Amino acid sequence: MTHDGISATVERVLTAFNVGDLDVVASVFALDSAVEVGPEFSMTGPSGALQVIAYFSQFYEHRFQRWRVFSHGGEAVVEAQMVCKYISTYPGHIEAQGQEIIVPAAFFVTFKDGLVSQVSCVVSSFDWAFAV
Amino acid sequence: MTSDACSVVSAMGAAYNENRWADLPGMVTPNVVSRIGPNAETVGPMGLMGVLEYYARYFHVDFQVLKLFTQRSAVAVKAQLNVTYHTTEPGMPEAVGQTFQVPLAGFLDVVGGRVDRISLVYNYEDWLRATEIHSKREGRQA
Repeated sequence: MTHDGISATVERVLTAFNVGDLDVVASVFALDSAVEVGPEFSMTGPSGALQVIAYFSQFYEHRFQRWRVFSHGGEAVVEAQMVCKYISTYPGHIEAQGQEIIVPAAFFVTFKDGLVSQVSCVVSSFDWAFAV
Repeated sequence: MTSDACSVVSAMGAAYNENRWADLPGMVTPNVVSRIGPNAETVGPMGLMGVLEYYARYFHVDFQVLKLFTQRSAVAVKAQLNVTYHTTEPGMPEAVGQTFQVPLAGFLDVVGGRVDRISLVYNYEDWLRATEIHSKREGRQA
């Protein structure tokens, strides 16, 4: 997959995410894709991706405001800035009061046959914890 | 420029891992912006060194670069931190020499053969969970 192709896919999925078009988001994931958040949280396929989004959306409103794509072959790293609004208290965390912060995030993505076959993300929750 | 940027970043990683920290200020620009962990942004070589020296009081950290990606004069690094927690950091679980790995993304811009921006992104909860899990494990073994 070319860099332009990967960049276009990233652009499409993040733009769709920002406007809540989750059908488009789900459409880029292969049926057997691995969706990993943190070291112990792994889901599978488009439905897994939507479950991850649904889980975190209970507590946060997210949107991406800037991103940059690095790629080589079928692999990519996306540097992103995520605007997070803390709307509902996460169990064990401090009370949600609508706090909002810009959080650095990175996605490691592998593509196969034009679809995402694996994605994992790291989010600088340090920034989040210190801001709230 | 692409391969040059990659070489600069690789050299910087090697200098860090090989404890040649005196070489690091010469590898960055005078106005390098570093964003590492919760200390927000620092500017200049001494700001970067201050952050590294802070962490070194509590942790030994080895950067294991898994892959470098270049885009013009920018480099993204897919890496793993191999961490040994040797001295208790205030507010953190007790250090008992626990070791753990944390995935990390690094983004660096290179200008004139030197690094001009560093942003390291890792999940604090990965880090905290690892220290807690390994602290309990070490405690049980003791």
